[in-house]
Amino acid sequence: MVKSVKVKQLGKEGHSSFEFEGETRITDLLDSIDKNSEEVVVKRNEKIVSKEEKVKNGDSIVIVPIISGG
Amino acid sequence: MEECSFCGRRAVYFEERSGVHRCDRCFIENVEKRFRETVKKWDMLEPDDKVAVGVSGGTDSLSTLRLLHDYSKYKDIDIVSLTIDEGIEGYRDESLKTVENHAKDLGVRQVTIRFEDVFGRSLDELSEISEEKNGPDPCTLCGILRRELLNQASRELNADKLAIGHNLDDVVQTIMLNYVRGDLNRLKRLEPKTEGKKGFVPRIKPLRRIKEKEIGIYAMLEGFEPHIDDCPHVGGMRSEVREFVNMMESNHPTTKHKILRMNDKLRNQLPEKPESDFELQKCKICGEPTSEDLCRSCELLQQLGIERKEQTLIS
Repeated sequence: MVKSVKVKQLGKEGHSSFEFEGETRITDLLDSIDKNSEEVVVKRNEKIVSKEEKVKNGDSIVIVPIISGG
Repeated sequence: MEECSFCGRRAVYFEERSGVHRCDRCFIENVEKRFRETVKKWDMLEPDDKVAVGVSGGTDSLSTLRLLHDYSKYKDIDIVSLTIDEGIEGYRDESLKTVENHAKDLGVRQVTIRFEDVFGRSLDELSEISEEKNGPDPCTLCGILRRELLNQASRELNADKLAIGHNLDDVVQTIMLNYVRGDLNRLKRLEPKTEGKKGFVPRIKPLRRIKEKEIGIYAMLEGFEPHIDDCPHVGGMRSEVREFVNMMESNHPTTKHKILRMNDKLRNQLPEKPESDFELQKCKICGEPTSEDLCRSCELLQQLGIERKEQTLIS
């Protein structure tokens, strides 16, 4: 079975998910989906990780928005 | 695995401006350290102070309450959690549950003031009336009314300080907004601790050196369940400025700290605005301090044809 990286984005407009294969850094993953790392916290396999951390096939990523809207 | 630069454990955060990685423990310690340094640098608190903390239920205010609560163990400070329920359907009602649970967990007194009790109308209703009468937008309405209620409630609670959870991002966005609007007077007003003259409870901003993202990580590591949803009324120029500042910070780390530092230096060079010579008096309707006959809240309510229902907030 081919493993992939599962990415879930939490957000006020609902949650969205996608998958990809390969190895990359969190910061590059965020760049690729046009997310500024200043505005989100990223969890890899349920643990908060720094944006320099690498993700690899089999990892589960959750992108949590940091919002203070009032 | 990226390792903590101090203890080798798994890093949760990379601080680009110093090139340092921090694990969960070292990260929390660093946030607490910067909080204490800010309090000390600007003489924000004194022993035996009673501090009202403005708590909305977001990460910033929950973190401010937690940090002040921890600090109070060493400095003998009395803390009260103060919430303004503006009456925003589907938004504030959710965050109120978060606020009450958080205060209960910390063993802190919770005081909630409702727009509807004081003004007889929720913010949603006031916004509709304002729109019909070409009055101010909801954010302006909310800002003026909430600010005044926070001050009045703090005074009625005999609080020596009112702590607000404005983080580095909030302060920097406000600085930039003042530039965009060309508002020199407001630039001068962005003090870390305001003067508490004539009916105004001094406001302190102990998170002003901590980024919004760092507060978010702190709250998640501490296991808070902040209410993370945008206010339905939010929008406008601040969102644009936030996007711009975050883009600059991403491309040029330290941007936010540099803007804050420059403003702190510049603020002292700005001339005192002539209004500061005006004698403050009591608003003829509600008794809040003002330089005019009516305070801004009562002036606004009069413009909307609304009569204030309650003069005293805390019985």
